[in-house]
Amino acid sequence: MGRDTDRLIEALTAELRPVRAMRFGEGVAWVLGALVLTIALVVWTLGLRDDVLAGAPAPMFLIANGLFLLLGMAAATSVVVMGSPQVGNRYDGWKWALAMTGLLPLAALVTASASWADHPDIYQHAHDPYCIVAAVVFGALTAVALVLWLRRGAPASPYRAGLLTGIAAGAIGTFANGLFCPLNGIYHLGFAHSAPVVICGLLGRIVVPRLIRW
Amino acid sequence: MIADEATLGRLAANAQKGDRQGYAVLLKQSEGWLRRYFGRRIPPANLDDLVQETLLSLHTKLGSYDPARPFLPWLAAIARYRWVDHLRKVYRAEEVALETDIAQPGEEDEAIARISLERLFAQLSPAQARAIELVKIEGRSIEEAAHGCGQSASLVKVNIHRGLRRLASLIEKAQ
Repeated sequence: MGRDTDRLIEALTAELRPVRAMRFGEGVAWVLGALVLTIALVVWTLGLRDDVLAGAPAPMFLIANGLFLLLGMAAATSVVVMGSPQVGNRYDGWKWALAMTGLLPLAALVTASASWADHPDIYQHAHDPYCIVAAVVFGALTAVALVLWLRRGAPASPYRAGLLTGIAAGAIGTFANGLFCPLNGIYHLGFAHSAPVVICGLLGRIVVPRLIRW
Repeated sequence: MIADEATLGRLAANAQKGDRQGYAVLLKQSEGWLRRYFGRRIPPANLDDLVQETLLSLHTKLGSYDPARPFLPWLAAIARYRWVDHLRKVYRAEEVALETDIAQPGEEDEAIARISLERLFAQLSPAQARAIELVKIEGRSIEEAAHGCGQSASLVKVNIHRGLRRLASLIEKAQ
């Protein structure tokens, strides 16, 4: 016992090369970089909402997009923390952000249920599929940044890290797409703008663990 | 002699900058710490392999250590991850007798105890812990474990499956 380990230690010591330490601030900078690039992509390809351009954004836009931005940042910073494992790590903030953002689809559901008899076509909106696809696509930059961060790090809970990567990507993608989407209705915001978070969360939970296992 | 937390953290930070001499000391100290850490939660026959796997992970993931934070909880998270991974591998060791001269968690201070495998194991239900102990640590067959703990064979399998899943989800949790 021990001789093999001694040889292993000698070998590992011999091949040591300087490495850059993963610091929380650097991870957050990666996330902010992805966010800024995503916003720039939306502005470049689609442009901004008229009320945002006019400097008088609608209250519903501010509330909904603010929630998605908070959720995206909360989930993304949790992923950043997970890159550096530590017994005692805490990253539960995303749960509260998710619960708050969940009020949007809940409000849409309650309102729609109450109005269902009078407006049976309430869920049909031509713009919905577009917003869902666009938000998922715009979330890709955030997803790539977080996966690269996790691959560099040592996430001790790959499945949770994958789920949170997906939620962060979906929420930030929805936030960015929301800068263009001109609709303020609770049905559209509650369903079409929340769906990408669910879709990306599921995709992240399934796909990301295979990319970050160590 | 065991280096203290601050010294280990400093050695790890220097290793990230390429200090080989300090790195050799860090690996040697970590080896000793890991042998005590895995203690009775791994058959002696598997201890060397697990310690070496964990040292390799320490080496490949050295960059994930943040010098602003304590070193041992980082090493413990990596050790727990490797341990759970190890438990998942189906095996039956020929030698299952557990050494009795290994230091117990009670001999360590509270800070170390909080990151111990015992604290992680305590999060399992008694049935899950017993099933994992008998099959994955002592190396008994499912049938022997079922006979030993009064559970049906299928229940032993379910408890192992659920227990390992729970352990994997609690790696960073310190209670």
